Amino acid sequence: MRRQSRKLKAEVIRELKQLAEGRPTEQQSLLERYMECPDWQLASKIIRDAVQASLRGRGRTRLSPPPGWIQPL
Amino acid sequence: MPKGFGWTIPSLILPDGRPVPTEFRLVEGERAAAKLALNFLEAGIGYADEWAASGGSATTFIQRSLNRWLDDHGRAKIQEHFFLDVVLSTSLDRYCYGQLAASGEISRMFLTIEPESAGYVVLGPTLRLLEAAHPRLPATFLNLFLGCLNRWIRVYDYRDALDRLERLREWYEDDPESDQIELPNIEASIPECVRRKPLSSSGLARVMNTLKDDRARQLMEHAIELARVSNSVDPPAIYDETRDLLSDCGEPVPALVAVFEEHDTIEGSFDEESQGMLEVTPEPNLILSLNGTHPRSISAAFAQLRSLCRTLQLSANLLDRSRRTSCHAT
Repeated sequence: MRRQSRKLKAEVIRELKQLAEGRPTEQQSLLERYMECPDWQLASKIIRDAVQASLRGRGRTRLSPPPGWIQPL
Repeated sequence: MPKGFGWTIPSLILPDGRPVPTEFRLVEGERAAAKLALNFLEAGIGYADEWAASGGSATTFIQRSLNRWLDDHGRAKIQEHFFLDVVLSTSLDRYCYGQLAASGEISRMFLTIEPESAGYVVLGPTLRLLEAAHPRLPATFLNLFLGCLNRWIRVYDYRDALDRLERLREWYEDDPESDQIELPNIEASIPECVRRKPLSSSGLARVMNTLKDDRARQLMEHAIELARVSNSVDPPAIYDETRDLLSDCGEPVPALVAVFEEHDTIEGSFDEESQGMLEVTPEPNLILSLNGTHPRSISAAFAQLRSLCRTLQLSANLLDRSRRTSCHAT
C-alpha cells in the first residue's frame, strides 16, 4: 500500500516537473501546433461554419411551388 | 422536430491503442501552478491521488488538494457556524486574483480567510447559566471565548457597538439638533455579570474544582481547551510590505456577531454598521504569507491554518453547547 502510494507520488512528481519545466506534453504540443498553423485554424473555422449552417437549415419550412412552375433541368 | 443531419465524430485511437484526447486546454500560469503543486506535494499538503482527477491541470490539482485538506481539518463542523472562504492567491486584491500567477511569480503568495457572511451567537442564556454557578464565570467565559476567536478572526461584540456609539456621539456633538437624535442604549444590553473581573488562571482552576453544575463545568472546560489551542500558536505578523498592499482597504468584515439577546441594541448596531462595511474592499480576516517556491514556507503557513481550523472547530462545538443551553432556557 505504502509502496503503491510512493510510486503514485513519484509518477505525479514526474508529470508535474514536465509541466513546470514547460516540456511540451502531448496535449500542449497539439494545441501549440494548432495555434501556430493558420491553415489548420481556417479548416476548423470552415467546419464550424458548415455545422452552424446545417443547424440553421434544419428548422426551415418547405414552400410548395406555385402552379405552372417548371422544374429546373 | 424532425431528426436532422448531424456530425458523428468517430472515436479515434492512436496506433498504440491509446484514445485521442477530446479535450485540450491551454491555461495561463500553468507552469507556475505546476511548480507550486510540486512544492505542495513536498510540503505534505498536496494529495498525489488527486492528480488523476485533475485532468492534467496543476491548478485543478492544487484546488482539489486544498479542498481535501480543508475536509480533513474540520470543514464540515466549522461550516455549521462560520461562513468563511479560504483563498490561495498571489494577490491580496480580490478583484485581480491570479494576475501575478500568470507572470509565473509564486515567491510571494497569500492564504487569506475572508467571511462570506457573519455567523451569529446569542450568549445571554449561557452567561445566565454560568452566573448561577459562580458570579465571575460569565466574564471569564466571555474573556476566553471572544479573546481566542479575536486572535484569528474578527468578532463583532458589545465593544464594537460601544465604539460605534462613541463615534456617533462625536459626529453629533456640534449638531445643534443633537438633542433630538436618539442614540441606541448599548449599555442597557450589556449584562451586569459581564462587567465583573474575569478569574485568573489559578482562580479559575480553584472554581472548577468546586463546580457542581455539569453543564457549566462542560462549557468552561470547552472554553479552557479553546484557549489552550488558540494560544498554542501565534497568529501571523503582518509585515510592512503586506501592510502597504492593504493601504486602500477598509477594516475586516466580522466573521461572527456575538450578542447577548436576540435583536438587542448590539445586533441593531451591527445591522446599521454593516450597511457601509463593503463600501471599500475590506481587509481579509487573516493573512498568511508564504513563499510558494519553498516547501518549508508552505508547511509553516498551513501549520497556522491548521491552528485556526482547530480553534474554529472547538468554537463551533462550544457554540453548539451554547445553543443547546439557549434551548433549555427557553
